[in-house]
Amino acid sequence: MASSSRQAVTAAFRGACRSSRGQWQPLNQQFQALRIQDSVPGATRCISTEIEQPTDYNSIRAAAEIDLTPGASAVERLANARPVPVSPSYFTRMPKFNDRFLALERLARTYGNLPRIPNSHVQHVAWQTLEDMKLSLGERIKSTEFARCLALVKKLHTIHPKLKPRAVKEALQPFKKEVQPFKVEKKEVGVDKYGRAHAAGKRKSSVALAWLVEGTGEVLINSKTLPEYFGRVHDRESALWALHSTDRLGKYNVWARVSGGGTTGQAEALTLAIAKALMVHEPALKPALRRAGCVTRDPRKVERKKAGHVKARKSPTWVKR
Amino acid sequence: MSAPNSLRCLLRPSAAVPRQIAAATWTPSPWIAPFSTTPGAGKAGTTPKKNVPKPKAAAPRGVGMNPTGKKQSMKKFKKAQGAKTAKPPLPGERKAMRKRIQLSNNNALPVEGLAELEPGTMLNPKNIGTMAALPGAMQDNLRSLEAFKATQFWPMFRQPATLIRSETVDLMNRMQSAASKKETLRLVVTGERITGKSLLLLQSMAYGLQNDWVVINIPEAQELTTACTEYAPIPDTDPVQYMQNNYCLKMIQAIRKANASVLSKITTAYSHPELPQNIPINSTLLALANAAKEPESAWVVFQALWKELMRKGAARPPVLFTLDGLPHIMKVSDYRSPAFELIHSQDLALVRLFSDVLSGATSLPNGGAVLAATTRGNAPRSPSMDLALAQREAEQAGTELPKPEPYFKGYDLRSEEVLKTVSVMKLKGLSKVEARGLMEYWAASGIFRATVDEKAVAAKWALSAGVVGEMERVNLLTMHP
Amino acid sequence: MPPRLNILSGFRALSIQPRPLAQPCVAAQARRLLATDTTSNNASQIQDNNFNGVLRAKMEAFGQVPQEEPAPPAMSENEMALKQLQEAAYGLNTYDPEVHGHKFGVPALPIAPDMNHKRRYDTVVEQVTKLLMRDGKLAKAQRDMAMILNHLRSSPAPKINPAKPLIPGSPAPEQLPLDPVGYLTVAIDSVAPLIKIRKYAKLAGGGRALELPAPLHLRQRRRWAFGWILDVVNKKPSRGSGRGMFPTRVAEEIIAVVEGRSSVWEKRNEIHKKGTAVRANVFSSRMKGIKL
Repeated sequence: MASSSRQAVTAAFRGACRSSRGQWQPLNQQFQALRIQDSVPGATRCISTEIEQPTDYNSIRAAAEIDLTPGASAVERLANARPVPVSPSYFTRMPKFNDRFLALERLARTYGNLPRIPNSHVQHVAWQTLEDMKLSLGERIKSTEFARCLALVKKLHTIHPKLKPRAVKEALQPFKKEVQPFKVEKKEVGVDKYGRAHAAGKRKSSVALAWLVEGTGEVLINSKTLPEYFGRVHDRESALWALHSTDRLGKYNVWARVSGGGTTGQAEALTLAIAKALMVHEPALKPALRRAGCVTRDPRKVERKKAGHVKARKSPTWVKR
Repeated sequence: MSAPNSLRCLLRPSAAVPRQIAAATWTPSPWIAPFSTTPGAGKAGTTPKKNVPKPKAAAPRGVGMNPTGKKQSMKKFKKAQGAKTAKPPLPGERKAMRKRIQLSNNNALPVEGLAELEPGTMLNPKNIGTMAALPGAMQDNLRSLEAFKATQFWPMFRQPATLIRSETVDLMNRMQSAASKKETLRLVVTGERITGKSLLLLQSMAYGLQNDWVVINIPEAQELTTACTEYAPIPDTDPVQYMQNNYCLKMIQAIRKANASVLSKITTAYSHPELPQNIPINSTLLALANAAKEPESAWVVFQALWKELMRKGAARPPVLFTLDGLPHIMKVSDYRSPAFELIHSQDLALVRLFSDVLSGATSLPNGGAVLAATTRGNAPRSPSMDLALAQREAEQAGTELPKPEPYFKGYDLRSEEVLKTVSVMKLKGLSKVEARGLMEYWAASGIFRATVDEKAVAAKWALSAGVVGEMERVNLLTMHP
Repeated sequence: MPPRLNILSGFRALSIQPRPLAQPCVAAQARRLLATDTTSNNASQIQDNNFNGVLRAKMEAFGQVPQEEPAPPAMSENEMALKQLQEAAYGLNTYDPEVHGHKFGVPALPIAPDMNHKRRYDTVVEQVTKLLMRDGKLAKAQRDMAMILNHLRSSPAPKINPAKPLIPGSPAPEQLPLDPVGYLTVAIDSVAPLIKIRKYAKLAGGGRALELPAPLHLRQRRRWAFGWILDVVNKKPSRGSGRGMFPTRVAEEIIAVVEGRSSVWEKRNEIHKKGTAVRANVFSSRMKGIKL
């Protein structure tokens, strides 16, 4: 039983190796893996189809120094010496890419059968595009090769995160874009050590940032008091509506920064910002604030101008011919 | 078509242009006040106009421009004409309507238990945050001094009343101590828009009237410096100073009306030979003030009155001199000298008189106060005044003085000189106690219909930051019932 | 290609699933203890009071707590937190929004309708303000509206003309200036037409339009009425000058409407009379096949 299973294991490994070897034969034949070696007369040419260790270029050392001791003739030694490239892909069109590709292949062979998670659960990652890769490596990468490589990358990426080996993670890292737009880091919402809650709000093209702290009802917007900043009483009411509708006027101090847009937009951006900050202090107020119309971001924006129109919808006046 | 006109351009105007057109194009521009070099000939400036034919009739119609002679309108559609049946308002009627000040409203609810203002009411710190009604006689006096303004919310209430705030008590106590020590209180009231600067002046005038001071008020400083009243140089002055007779007459009449009871108790100590009518020594100051019947003699009478008031003596009352709109006199005025140069406001005699007292160059020998209030609405920019007031404020607070900008050329040294040693009172928002007193008064008048409690006060205070005018806008000028 | 024999493929049969998340019930009390919150003592004291108060109120509502029973001894924060953790372990939701998550009490739901910031003004006031607006200047229209209400408030009580009765249910004329919004509403609703005349082109024969009465909704009726008032106002010259004149004229016209002096009443009567006359067209044969 045990022996038969062992045979099965070896057979399986052979099968795996054999299948890939057939694929690599022509490529391998192109490699002249050359190293500067202390040549021993009669040494055979070293043809290696694969590097023995996993690619760790830091550990590769140059060949030993040529021994120029008078024991052997220097000419004889030099005649047999030859430079050996670090990478077997040295003479290909895209050596750096090929190295990575090979490393991935190897990883896929080793870990390709680890359990995966469904695609819908995989963390969304922005991979480098062909253009990015070409620019970063400075090589003329073929799109078909790249597509195959990326398919491999994506396959390895679907390995269950708890079982994913470190080597796989490290190998996938260079294929990720530097900036990950899909990576959503959830901000810590809470009252800070000074008792402030911070939130942002938007309306039309205005942006408001509000800091709310328990106090006596003082308001500073862009370092001006409320009546100095908003000349219109309607706007002042709008800005503080979250506090007004929950009877919190006079219980919190507001410090806010607003920019962009006009007075109405700024006031209603403040409504949202202050309401959100208030919900940090008192989460139980959310239903009341929603009914007060302070929680929802008003998505309306200026309609874009259309070609052939004077404004968004206005047509030019009709002229006969 | 345009040939004759083009040719006319090449000709000399004296030769070819009809005399009528030449005369019509030369009309004195309306924004320059008529000027005369002889004193008392204020009307002389209008004389050249009489010879000029009316420009409308003389001007040839639509030369080369609009052959139809019709007035061209940029409007696409004709505006619907209003019904012509109603009688059009008489000249000046619309302005009078706009400037009308209504102090009471019989439809507003009377406020129960509203105390009337008494001589000591505004001195007592216990009264902070309460309202005090202005007595009927004083209303007339204040009205003749033009202490009320049309933009204030007087017509909403049964009776005019003012809020006694901490600044009021502070100012009145300073005025009282100045009067008792025969010193001059020189103070500038500043603050943001609608923080109650003009109303603080009104309160000081009310205090003065009740405590037998002589109250003189310049209600709008811009009336003196924006070239809207006649002016003439005072002879034998170097540098030349200018008097404003019409304004002076109006002011003397206001002083006479408001301070009649005080002035009738004081008698003159000097003989005034320069006056148009003989005022013997020991006649009342009221009689002296009555001597000003025509604009020509107004400045002389005012000088005589001022001289009498400035006489040191036990029987003389303290004087309160107030001015609203300080930035208007802290700049070059819109008047022109005979050399067509702009006249500095400090060269206007009346302004100079006020500035001398404010700067401390002349002191009030019988004690009193000189108060000026800045204004933030329709005010000219006066960097020197802003800087000087900021420096005085810093001095009072004991902080570092703000420095003038080294590369800014717009400073006005003469204005700065005036404000070298004044004290400054900066008005800010009301405290919550004061705000509550005000709101309770509104509620009692039937205007504020919710209950006045901590919550309501806090809400309105937050919307207005306690600024009293903003409180009024939030509560009295609102679409919320 | 058939799948190769591979030992690793054996693992595929094993499914590895993430551990299910714990129920998101937050023990607020415990969190408060852990948080580095300087105000925690004070706030938790308030919460204690709130908690006890609400608990008592709830129990009293069910008649479980007799009044004379002494209050339960106050728990320490730790005990409270432990209790909550225990509750959470039993699957109970320890987070009660009536008790936790607020500092100054929660407003009763639903909140008053005018507490929504889009409906903060009275409906009539809102509609009339928009009708007063010209060139999209809402701020000016609102200021005008406020001045109109002030004018109504400070004017003497109107003298009602018995020939032009106000809408039934309106308050006594002496009460009207005290409630300017009611004043405005009464004036507008009193002269609001019930119908409009709808014209069907070329149906009356000879190219004339066939006229039919059509009912109006409340909002439409108010719009018609105030439109008439504005027509009158725009034709009147103002007696003074300045920005307060337009609202003064509008307010005076509203008072004139209530007192029955305004020409708006004639317009209303006219449209009603005409509506009664063209009622005959409703069952006209020419209207066959036309959907009303």
